[in-house]
Amino acid sequence: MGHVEDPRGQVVARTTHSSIRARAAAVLVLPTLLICASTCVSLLRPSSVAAATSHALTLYSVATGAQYINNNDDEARGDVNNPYGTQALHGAALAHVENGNGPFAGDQAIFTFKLYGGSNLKASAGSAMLICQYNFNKNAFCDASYYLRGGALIGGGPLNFNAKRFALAITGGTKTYSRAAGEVDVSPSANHAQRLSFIMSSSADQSGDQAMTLYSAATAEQFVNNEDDRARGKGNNPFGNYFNSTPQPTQESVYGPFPGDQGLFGSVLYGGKDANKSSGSAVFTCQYGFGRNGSCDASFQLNGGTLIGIGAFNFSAQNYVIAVTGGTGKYRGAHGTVHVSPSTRETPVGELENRLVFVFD
Amino acid sequence: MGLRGRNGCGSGSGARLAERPRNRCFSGCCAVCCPLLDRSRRPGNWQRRAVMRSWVRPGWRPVGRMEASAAVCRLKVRLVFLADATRCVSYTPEGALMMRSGCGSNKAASVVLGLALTTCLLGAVSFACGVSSGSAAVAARPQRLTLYSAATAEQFVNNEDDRARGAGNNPFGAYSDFTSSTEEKGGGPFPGDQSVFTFDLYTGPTLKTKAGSAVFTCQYGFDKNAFCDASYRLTGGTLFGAGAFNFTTTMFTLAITGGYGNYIGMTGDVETTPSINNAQRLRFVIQRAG
Repeated sequence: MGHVEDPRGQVVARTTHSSIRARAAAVLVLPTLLICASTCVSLLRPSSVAAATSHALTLYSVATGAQYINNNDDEARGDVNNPYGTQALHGAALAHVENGNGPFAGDQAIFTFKLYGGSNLKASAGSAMLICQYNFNKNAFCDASYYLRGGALIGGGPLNFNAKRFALAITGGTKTYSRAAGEVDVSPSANHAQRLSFIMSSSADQSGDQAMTLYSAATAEQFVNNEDDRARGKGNNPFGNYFNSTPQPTQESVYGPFPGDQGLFGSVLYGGKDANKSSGSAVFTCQYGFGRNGSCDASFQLNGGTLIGIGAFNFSAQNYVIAVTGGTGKYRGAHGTVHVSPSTRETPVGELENRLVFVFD
Repeated sequence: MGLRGRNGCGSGSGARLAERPRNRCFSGCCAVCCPLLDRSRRPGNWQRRAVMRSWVRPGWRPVGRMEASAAVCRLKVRLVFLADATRCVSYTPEGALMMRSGCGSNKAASVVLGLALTTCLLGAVSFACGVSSGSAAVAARPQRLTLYSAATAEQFVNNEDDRARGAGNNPFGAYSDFTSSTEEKGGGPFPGDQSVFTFDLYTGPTLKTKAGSAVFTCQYGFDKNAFCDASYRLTGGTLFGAGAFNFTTTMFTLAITGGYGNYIGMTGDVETTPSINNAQRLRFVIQRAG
């Protein structure tokens, strides 16, 4: 017997041992307990912790198609409501000359790609599509979808079309990628291809920042009045029947923006105690729906990385919320919200129209 | 993450470990860790003090309940068995697992066992942090939600007059030339077109009980593929989705990328399939981002 029981029936260790037996026991116990410990830590951990594990994936893309949408005839100043404080920017309608100088804010571009597993472009790995809306200074916000075996990866972010390298946030996915979060870094490769380096994890640098407050000052606005392009779509769609029998008003300056119109808003960001420290810039790329409701892709280019968000709100609202869905660099894998409210804060750089409170999950 | 009391871990008592009465388990502490901790100040029990030192750090919180875990209980039994084999452990009158302080020449074994116990305890605590606390527990488990959508309005934007070959710079190298599509009738939508759809959401296929609304803003690419941003306004918050699918299909899946309100930080996907009454069945599988 290796033990005795006390009167309560509890196990009590014996008081004499030989050192040899103890060492033997230690040798036996060490590997067993180490296995126990590692099993304990790895198997009993919550899945959320496991999900934070970094995964890397490298693919190569080759463009297979492109379509450019020159919305030159639709670019106009939007005189209607918006919560971005761009009233001071209202002026004469922009007169852009596209040839040679474009793309301009409001234009669009669509790209499709084939994906490969290696740089020799032999083993097919799927396909991809980028749909980009240009904003200011040849920058664009692109929605990206990568179709791979096992599901799709969804991402987006800003990129400059003069750049050869850029990073997009991976904000989610479908099926096996339904919990994906990270970023994809795109760089040139041989054979007119691009190298896509996916990093599926949250940035460690971000862990210290739980909240931050910034202020924005509007710098640019572009309204895209697609009035001449609105038409009933008789084509296919997966949404069954629908009806749109109510005549829609058409006077843009009074009732607009209308469904299908777009708005692009640029601003600079300030932070610090006195809100006088330049902290980056933001661009909202918005598509209007019904009743002046808009859906906006937001990108915040900050020191150390980019935050990506999406929001759906009424353009008559003064307060609204943007959901943070991802980021790049320091903000890779970020989630949370941005609460936007009006501000009348005066600084040496001028009036700051909006207060943005970032809260990270 | 480790032991750090993130996401409300250990919200059961809210009391600091150092503040609780001796020899009393604070609520939610398990049969494994609590006795060890309660006895931690007993002289000679260096192993338990090591556990305490590693546990009580600024910003850390007590763990939540662990007794729900059968795995932890099995772990305890296994540890006791192994510890008994070394003759260096015993039970306290309260049933706590104890390491003998004066295990003499078995010091090496004691060190090994103590370290292993600590490591195992850390793992168990880490697990407990995940399963016990409110939001964290919810975060780890996927939530399933089924709704039904019926389209209420649509606006199509035919950008036919705006399609042109872009001669400007782009970072995507060479690509094969595409002939611009201009004949919308019957063949559209074409690249560059857009559409906006609104939906009412219902809890059942009969479309009687309203659950919210949804909006899709879609931009078409090639071959009737479109990328759509979707927002689902539900009671308590909004879910956002995004993804590309072919507009000739009847079934598609979007990624859920985030949300507001109760759905902050939610990720997952939503599978859309046809339903009766010209509706679509939406099956959400979501969980909080890790």
